[in-house]
Amino acid sequence: MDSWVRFNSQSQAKEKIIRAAQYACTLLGYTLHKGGAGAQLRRTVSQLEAHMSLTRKLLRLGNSVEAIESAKRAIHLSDSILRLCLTVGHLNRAMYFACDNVLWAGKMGLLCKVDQRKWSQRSFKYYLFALILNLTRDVYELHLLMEREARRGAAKSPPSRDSSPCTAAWAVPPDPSAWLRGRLSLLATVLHNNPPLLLDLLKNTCDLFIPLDRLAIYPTGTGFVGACGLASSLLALLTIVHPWLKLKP
Amino acid sequence: MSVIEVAFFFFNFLAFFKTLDTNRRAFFLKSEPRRGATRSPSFALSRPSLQLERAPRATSGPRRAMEALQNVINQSQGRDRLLRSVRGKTKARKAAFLAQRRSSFARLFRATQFASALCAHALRNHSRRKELVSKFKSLEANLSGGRKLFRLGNAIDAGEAAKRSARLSDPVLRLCLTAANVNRALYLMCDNALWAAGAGLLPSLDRGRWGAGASRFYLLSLLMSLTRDAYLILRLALRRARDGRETISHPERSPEAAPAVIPHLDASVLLLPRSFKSHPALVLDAVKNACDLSIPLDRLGIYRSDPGALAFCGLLSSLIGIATLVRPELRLKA
Repeated sequence: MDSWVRFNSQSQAKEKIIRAAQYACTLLGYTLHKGGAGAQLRRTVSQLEAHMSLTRKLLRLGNSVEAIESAKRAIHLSDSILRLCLTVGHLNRAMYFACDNVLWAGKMGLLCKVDQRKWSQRSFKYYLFALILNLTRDVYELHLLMEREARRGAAKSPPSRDSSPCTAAWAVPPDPSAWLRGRLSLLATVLHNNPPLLLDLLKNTCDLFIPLDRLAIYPTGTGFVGACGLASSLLALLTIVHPWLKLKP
Repeated sequence: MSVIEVAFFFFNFLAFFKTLDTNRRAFFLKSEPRRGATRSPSFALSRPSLQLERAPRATSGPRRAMEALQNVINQSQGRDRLLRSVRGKTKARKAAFLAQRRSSFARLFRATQFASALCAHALRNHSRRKELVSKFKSLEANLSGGRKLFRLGNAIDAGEAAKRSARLSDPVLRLCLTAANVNRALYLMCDNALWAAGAGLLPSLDRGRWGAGASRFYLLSLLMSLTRDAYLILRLALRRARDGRETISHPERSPEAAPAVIPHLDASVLLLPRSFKSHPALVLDAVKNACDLSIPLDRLGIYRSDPGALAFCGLLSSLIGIATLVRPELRLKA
């Protein structure tokens, strides 16, 4: 199984590039449609997008196994919330890839009577749930880091009359706007000091709009989905080019 | 609620309770310098990052090496750093060899494409299997198109390989490998142009001419690779003969056997199989290139072959390519 994971990981970088190109085509198609471009050009762009989508499905054929392996590794984490979020997130990703493989087989004609719309909806449901869990993990890590930064700041500054060790971190002081400004600056400091977390948060937020639109939960339009997809693909490529930007585990 | 949705909820339910195992050790926070801080000037070591400390797990050495490997194996720059820092264990070394520029998935797709072509050719005369034949042809066409897209950046890799091979010390190897890599780069560029034409980006491209050009460059690349293989085989055989391992009298010949009519020829004939046995990588590379040769020869009309034979040769060369990935010792190094 380890050798399969290693075997599979070679194509991930190219799959991300093709993903970026696919969403660039989506955005371009929307722009051409709004700009009143010719039908031939729009047809070419949509055919290119469909070709890239099918190729990506082909490249993702082994990803279910890789996601299950990631879930097996994540189950040994010591932090219970991280363990829950990452394990269940990876399992949902595995189910998403499995549905994607069925969609590919259906498009290829290898499996007859595959209801493309139904399987597509299923795959986006698993994808959405995996993204929600990833975002939960990001928010949890952000919360822990903000707590730590706040304790460090309180330890450095001299004790004042208003603050006491018993004051809870989330207790709202008499001046809410000052408190909010303090929390926001703390958030900015933590995110500035931890670019992997910032990158992962942005990536998951951009990705979230794709299944929300496809499942008609929060329709945003083709152009916005294309822009979000392109942005998240570029951020993912950044983590491949600069490995220290990848959030671990 | 459908079966899939029930499975979905059951799956998540089970995973939820599995992860809430309260016997696990508690987490704790620890401040430590970020590992990659030296890469970016804005993150000096004086600004530590706050990370969650994972409680150490009782894992063995090879397992730790494999986990570290899997975390960075899909990162292109981290791969080179990993190769330099990998220590000790055979498993980690094997996995490091796998981190090559050529995509392993591309070889699997190629094998599947030729297997589909072979199956379609084998079933072409069965009237009841027409639907299956069309599925195999559709799979082959899709894999071929997918591979063309997947190969879009490989011309640069081939150019880099040509630059590396131009620095080899042996003049014959330098010539053969550089020419092979340059021709491969040109073949891949023609292939990229054909993909663009197929995708509708270059509609006015003359596909016939560019296809013939791609086949010519591919043929030249294979011929140079085969020349390199022949040179290495010859060098190997001469070295063994010079070392005196092969003598005119053969110790393993039975005393009852008749004496050789031309002892030198007899010795040479036995020299080659023994050389092949000691260098399987060379033999495999030669067989792979010979199998691949039939494809451009057919496309250019120089030597027409049966489609089934072409598919078989393509499948065999793809399987050899996969074998060299799985067993790095079978890969011929320049």
